[in-house]
Amino acid sequence: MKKLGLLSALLVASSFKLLDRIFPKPATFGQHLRQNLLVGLLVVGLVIVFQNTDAVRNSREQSIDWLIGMNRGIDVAQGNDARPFVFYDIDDKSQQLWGEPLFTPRDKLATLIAAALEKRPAVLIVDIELRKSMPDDAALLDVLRRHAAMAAAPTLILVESFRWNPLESGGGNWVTRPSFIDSTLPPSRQRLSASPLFEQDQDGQYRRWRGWLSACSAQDLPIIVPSVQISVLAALSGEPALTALEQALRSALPRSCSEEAQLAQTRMVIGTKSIAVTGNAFTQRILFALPWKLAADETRPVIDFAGGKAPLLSILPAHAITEGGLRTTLAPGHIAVIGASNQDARDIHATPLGAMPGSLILINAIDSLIQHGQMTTPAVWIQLLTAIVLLSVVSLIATRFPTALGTMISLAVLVLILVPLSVYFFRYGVWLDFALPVAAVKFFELAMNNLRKHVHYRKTAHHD
Amino acid sequence: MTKTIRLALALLACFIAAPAVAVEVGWIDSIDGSVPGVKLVRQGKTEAAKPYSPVQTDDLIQLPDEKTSVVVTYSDGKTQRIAFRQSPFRIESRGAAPSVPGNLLKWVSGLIAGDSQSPQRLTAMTARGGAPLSVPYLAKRFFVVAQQRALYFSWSDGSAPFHLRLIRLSDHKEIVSLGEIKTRAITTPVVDLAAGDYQLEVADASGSVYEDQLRAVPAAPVFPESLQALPPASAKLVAASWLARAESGLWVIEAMQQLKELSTTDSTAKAVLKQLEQGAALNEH
Repeated sequence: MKKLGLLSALLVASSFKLLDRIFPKPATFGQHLRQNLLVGLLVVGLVIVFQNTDAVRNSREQSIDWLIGMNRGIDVAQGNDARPFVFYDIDDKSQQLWGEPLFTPRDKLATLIAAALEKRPAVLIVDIELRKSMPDDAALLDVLRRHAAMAAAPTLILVESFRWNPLESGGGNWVTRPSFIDSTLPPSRQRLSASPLFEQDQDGQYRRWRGWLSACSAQDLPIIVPSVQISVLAALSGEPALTALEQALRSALPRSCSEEAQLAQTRMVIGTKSIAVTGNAFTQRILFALPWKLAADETRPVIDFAGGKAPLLSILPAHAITEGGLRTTLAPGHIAVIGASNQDARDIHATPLGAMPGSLILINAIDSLIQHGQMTTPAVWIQLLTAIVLLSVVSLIATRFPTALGTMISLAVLVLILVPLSVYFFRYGVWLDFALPVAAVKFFELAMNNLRKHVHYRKTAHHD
Repeated sequence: MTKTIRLALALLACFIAAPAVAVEVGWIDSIDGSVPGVKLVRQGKTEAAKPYSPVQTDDLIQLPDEKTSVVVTYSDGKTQRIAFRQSPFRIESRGAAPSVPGNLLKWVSGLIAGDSQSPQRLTAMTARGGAPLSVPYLAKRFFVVAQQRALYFSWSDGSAPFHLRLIRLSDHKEIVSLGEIKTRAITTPVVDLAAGDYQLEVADASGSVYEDQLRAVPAAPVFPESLQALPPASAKLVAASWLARAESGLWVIEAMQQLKELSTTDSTAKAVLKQLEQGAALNEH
């Protein structure tokens, strides 16, 4: 046992000697720069090589979650595209006033759709289950017929319903559950079906959107259903974009439900946004910005839209429309969503911005896509160049302030500079992890200094 | 040069004199009392205010008497009760949009205060992706036992005097209405709390309203083990403390009622009640 302890001590001492030989205590700017570049770029390289490991991915996820928290509810950054959203919310009070029904009453839904269409949204999304026919469908079908006959009708998106079909061989597939609307009404170019599903992480949170969903039809035929946010993006970009999206998805249709859909192109251009088809977990991140609840002293940001001012998000309780006849002034061209936040709907989910109804996740996903497109990380050469510049600055500071206090102060100053820079870039959908190489260098420097001090102390004590 | 300065001054004067653009910020949610007496003044024009009329910044709301009040809902979801003493009440934008420094400050103050970010464990019946879940979402509605009883409520912050109302949602009947409350805690007179849903409202002098919902149900959960070996007061204290945590805190208001009753003679119950009133969660174990 004693021998083992001695052996470990020898191993640590020889490792330190080796480190000390490779990285002798730097004094000049050149020495600092060489050491910092070696350590910093090694860390950047390791992060790039091991970016798909759990440890690196989790730290990146946490970093992005933190940045999302910093951007919670803030104004839209200058130059970003943005559209106002209106959430017609079947909240608890509406649900109670409607007698707590098991399904959303179709006549109430018809009133909501009619009121929403009256305000000329660019797109209206009905995030309500419409699978089964009900006795009070007449008013709903009537309003949908009137919508189909409207001149320059807003795009109406009805969410598609799916069930998970587990297979005996393991895994499974999504199976669409057709709506009675499709079998009752003739198809309309202005009425689309889209998937409201998102990726759920292991911690139960929703952080990522899906571009489309490969599923099986009720007849066991493969289908690809575009997501709500991609459909909205295409609808806002006009008919050619919608047609291009449909063609791209049709061309990727697999031969059977058990096969994966493979899109021919690597990028898909929808309007002004270029979407990577084979996007990784980070490019699919929803840059949540619209929380459900606000603090007492907070309000929603106001944006310039269609020559006027409009709140980025308005939440209108459904009962105020259906029972009260509330008709607020809304800018034409907004995006409207009819959904439910009431407890009976069981549609509240965890996100990096806290709990929110599923419809608000849809709104955040659309807003994220309109404002930022997909989240991007700069090219490797930009990451390396940035790291080199930063490490040069760190080396200069270390040469000017060589003491431990100097190291701590320079670290604090760097954090104060780098954090706002990270937040600034994030507002434009760019995620650049400035802090990691600098932090690695500083921690390495601190660790080496401490080790040197420790060894020096032991040597001095031994001589005494 | 003089011409340029004159032009600049003229532009500045135009900018200063330009009328502010009125922005629609919400609507009148409800009017209690004399509905016809409530007036909405917009750009000098007076009209009768009706529930669900949209309101704009700079609108004035006039109330006829002390018995009348108006609830305004803002488009960010917040509500404000306007009382006679505030009449004529000018509608203004409330608060400002969050900012990055503000969010950062909140995060730092949370770190200093030691607020641990507990992982979110919300689950839902509907699937938005991933495997469909089967555990119902935790409701926010608080439960109390339906019976003839007095109810104890407490709150923090806000400016006195307060006004407390308990409204039965089935018929919108006000079963408790207590005004001019100078303290931040009150026990109501005995009321017939029949099974059903109730809305609790506490309004302060500035018109801020706290709203929550109560559901009166026939019985509360019972402590899972026998407490017969304990003295009756201790058994009640254990059961009430357990109830505060039962079903993820849904019964905390009922637990407070029981603890309030015990607190007159039991200092431990008083201390536990104080902790609950401060929002502290009792350990389940």
